[in-house]
Amino acid sequence: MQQTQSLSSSAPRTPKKASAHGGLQATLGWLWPFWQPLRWRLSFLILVTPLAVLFDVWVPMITRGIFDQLQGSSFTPALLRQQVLLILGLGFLHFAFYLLVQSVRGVTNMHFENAFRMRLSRVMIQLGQTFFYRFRTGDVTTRLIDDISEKKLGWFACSGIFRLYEALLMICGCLFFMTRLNPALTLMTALPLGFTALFYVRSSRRTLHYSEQSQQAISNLNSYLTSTLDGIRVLKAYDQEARASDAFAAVVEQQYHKEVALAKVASLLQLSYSRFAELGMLLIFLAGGWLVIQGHISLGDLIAFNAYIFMLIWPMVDIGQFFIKGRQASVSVERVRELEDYPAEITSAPEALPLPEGPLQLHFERVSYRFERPALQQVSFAARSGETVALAGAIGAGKSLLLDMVPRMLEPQSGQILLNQKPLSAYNLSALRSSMGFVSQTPSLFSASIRENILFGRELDEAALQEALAVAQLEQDLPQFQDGLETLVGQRGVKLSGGQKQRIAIARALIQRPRILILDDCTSALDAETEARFWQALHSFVPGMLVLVVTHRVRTLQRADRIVLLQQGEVLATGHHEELSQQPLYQQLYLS
Amino acid sequence: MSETHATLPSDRSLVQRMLPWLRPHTGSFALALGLLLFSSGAKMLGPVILQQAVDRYIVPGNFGGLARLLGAYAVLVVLGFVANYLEIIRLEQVGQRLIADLKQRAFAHLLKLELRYFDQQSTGKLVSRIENDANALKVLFSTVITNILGNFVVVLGMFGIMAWQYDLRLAVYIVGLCPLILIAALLFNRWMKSLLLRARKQLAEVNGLITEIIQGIATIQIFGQQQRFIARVDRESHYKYGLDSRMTVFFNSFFNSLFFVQTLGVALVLWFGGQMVMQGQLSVGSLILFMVFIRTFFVPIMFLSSQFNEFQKALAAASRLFDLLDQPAESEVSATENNPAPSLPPGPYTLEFKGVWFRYSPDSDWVLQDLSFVCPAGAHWAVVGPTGSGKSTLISLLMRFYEPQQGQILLNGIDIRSIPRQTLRAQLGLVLQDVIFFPGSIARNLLLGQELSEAEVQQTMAQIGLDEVIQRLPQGYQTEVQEGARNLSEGERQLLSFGRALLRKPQILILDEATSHIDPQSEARIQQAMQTLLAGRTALIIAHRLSTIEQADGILVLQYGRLVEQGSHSELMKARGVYAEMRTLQMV
Repeated sequence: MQQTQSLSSSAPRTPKKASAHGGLQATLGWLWPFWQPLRWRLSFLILVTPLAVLFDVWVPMITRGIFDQLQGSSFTPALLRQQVLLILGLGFLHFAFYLLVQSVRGVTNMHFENAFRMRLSRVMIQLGQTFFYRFRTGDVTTRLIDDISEKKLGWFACSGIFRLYEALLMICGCLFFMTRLNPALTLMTALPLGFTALFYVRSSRRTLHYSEQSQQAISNLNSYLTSTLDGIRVLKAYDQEARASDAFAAVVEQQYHKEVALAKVASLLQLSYSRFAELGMLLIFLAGGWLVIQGHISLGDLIAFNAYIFMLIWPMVDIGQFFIKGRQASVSVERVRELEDYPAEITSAPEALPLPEGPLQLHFERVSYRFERPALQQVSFAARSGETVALAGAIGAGKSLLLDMVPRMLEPQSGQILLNQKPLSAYNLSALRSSMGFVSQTPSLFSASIRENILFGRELDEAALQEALAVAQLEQDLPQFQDGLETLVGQRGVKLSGGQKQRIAIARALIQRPRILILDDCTSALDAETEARFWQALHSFVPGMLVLVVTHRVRTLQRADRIVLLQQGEVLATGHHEELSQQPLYQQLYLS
Repeated sequence: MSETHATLPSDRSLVQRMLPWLRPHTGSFALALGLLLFSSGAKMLGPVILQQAVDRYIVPGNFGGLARLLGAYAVLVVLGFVANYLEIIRLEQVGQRLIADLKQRAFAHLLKLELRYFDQQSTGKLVSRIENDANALKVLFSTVITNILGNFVVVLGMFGIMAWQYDLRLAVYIVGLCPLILIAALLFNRWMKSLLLRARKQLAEVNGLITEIIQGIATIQIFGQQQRFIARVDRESHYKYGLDSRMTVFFNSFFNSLFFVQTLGVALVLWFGGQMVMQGQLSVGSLILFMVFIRTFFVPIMFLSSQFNEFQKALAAASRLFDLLDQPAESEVSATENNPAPSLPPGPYTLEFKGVWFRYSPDSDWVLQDLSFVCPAGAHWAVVGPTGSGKSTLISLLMRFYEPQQGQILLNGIDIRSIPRQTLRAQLGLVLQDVIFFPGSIARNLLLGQELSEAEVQQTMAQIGLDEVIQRLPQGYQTEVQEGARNLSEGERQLLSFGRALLRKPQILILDEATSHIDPQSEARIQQAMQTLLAGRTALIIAHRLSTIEQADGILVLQYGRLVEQGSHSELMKARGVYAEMRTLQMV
């Protein structure tokens, strides 16, 4: 998906009109590798489905025999019992085999959902920042949750394909027996059935169209509700309750019309099937009745034909469904492949160096980066162990972008960043990153306890944890939490204040005593006193640390050894607070 | 889900509450019922016509009669189809109408609730209450009538035809299978319920985990935790796979068993019916009729059994919705009913807090304790204090979002509780830390229902330097505010919320840390705007900026909900009290 499209993804998503044929081939090609390890299951479905179908298709032939013999005089109850038992036996076999087939199909759908999800997750978790700049969270989530689900791609991967297989077998089986009974009557019934499949495809497309519109109406309604309820204070303060209700009524009204429109096409489609069968039955009885009267076929033949008509309806629907779902699946596959094929730009070189011992020097040399516009232009500055360097400037000056480049979340497009005279890419990526503590602007907490969020998968002892808590000024908050460090946070956990989240993230960054600490405006929600204590504690905690910090606070800037003042991606001035206090932009930004 | 069981009222009382809503649609329901009876009748006649075709025309060899009968049948099929379709559409319209009304009603009521209610509920939950719960109810209106009633009519009718017109014994054999199926279905549903619930929870778990990972991807990568999170996804996803697999196997077993019961029915009919035909007690056509009946007979029963869970969901949804509708709305005049609401004289107003005590609930701590101060008309007072000292609560009380447990808040000597909320709030201009936009154009967001000419709006915006910014947008004032106003910068958004307050020409301005998120450059503009905004108005300002606080006419210093100091900046500095200490520590 091109950038423009993903940026405006609040607009209704229009599925790409992939040609059904090419799209289907590509979809099956993408699916094949997932089937390869499942050869056993594949052969099972290929071999057992025909059996299940056969047991089903056979029954009308026996019923036919019963009816034919009932009219004769040589029939005895013993013969009847035999035939009825045969029907029961076939019924049971069909039950057993079809249950197996259906269960294997269902379980395989789920298996694929899981397999797709794992494969995509593995790819996604390694993708570079540029991917996440380009695709919004909701967009990526949809691909990993909705597109691959057992309702979409997962369903199509097994059920979609094997229901088609079953339908084709069913049709072959029915046609085989029907032709044996009477070819002319068979031809007469086959025609309306083909029509059923066509009708299904056509009207499903329309239904799909309406159901997309109804989905859109639902998401409009949800976003209206969310934004209004989030703003309830403002709403009440400005006495807007009545107006908001009216506006909501209009949104609901729209949804009403969409839903009714959908119901009109969808129920027409649904009702039609049973009517098709009834009309087919009517035709059979008319034409077949004539044949019976003329003595060309028996009454039993007619009854068998009638049974086959009912058996043929659903396979027709399945064939239609294969193409409809196949189209949806090919759109999903395309969306999934977009994620899979995204280049993994940031990797560790094969002969990467370990991180050097001793003091570190970080040099930014003419670093440039552009999105649509230049975001960083020829930025150069240096920082070394023991120093605190602050990046200053208005919003959009490029501060966070520079910080992201230090752990190589993003690579400069030109220029380079040197660590002890060697480019960052020369070092082992995980060694580089694990030497750093990084706290982003909006701290990410995960559904786990506070302790787990701070330890974050690293094995460190209790003393280290306590120390990190103290430096991050988190100790004071702990009594507030019901279960202390074991309190659950994140989506299902307790609500935390912005400052508490920031301090947990700071503790997480500090706990392994990083050699480089990167703080991206992460103290904005701390009050000045807490922040002051934090800085004091930090310096005694790791004296030789290299600290890069983005901040809007004058007090923090004053503490820095050096300030790099940025304007629209360019370095405007460098120096400490006193030196910069004569600089016009600096004055305007921080001293007015 | 779990919350619903505690307060689940009886199904009967729920139905009783819903009946009044259905009443206006009695006509539609009656029409739908008529259509339903007709189409059900047509459905039942089908097999009878087949029987007649076989026994009266095909076996004796009368093609002319057969053609006429089938012609009549074709007409019947078409008419039945039309009736069925009209009935479904009619019910769908009524059902959707009811749902739409219910949503509108629930939302309107929700907005009238006290802020306290919103404190306790997450937005997501409330959205789901209005959207999902209302939709779940639809099943009760449309499906119940079409399927339960319709199928009941068909099943009963078929039994009647089979028993009285053809053969009672054979009919009883078929119908005898029904209770068996229904009991099995009930047991199956009960048994599946917990698994279903677990599977749904696990789905939410996996989705939540993935969302969390995507949102925190940078953190995960920097800290090198990819493998650990992949392992977590693997674990959760695999567990989901296990639950889903079990479910699909159970469902398949159940439905395939039902089909097998149908085969059993066919065998029974063929066995007994066949014997009766041989003995001349039953015609061949009647045997065909029984066989067709079996097919039409079992489909509705299978459908019914798949709907149990839907009904339970719908009833749970209904009780949650009623719970929402039962919440008391903000009362108009609460404490001082003896004091009839006077009309508020024109401002400016002197604002007085008199011995105000407040806490959010009887078992929590006091947030404000014995708060008293007077802010003279036209004065600008800053409120300072550490986080949690009660600054924002003070403002919420003034807005009458909450009522104090003790004490009074007075505007020019009038207790605000005796002033209708609308009148009171119209005089107060509130600018909050978080800027909220509603769907719609910028103009709509600025005006929020006021009727002002475009020139007036432009003039006011120009005062705070915002006119130029808005004019630069693609459609000027008519530019749509996108989701979360992402097409505006943080500074512009904050300025817009100032503009919104300014357009109301409020007598009292209330600023709640309105500039804390803004970069200094935008803040400079806002500072200028503030001068315009504050001129000639009483103002209460919660602020971090030194300049704002120093320029204030007075400063209220709060600590743990108590007013510990008040006075001008220089007075307080001289007093060398809490404020002076805070200043030296850079705490404000």
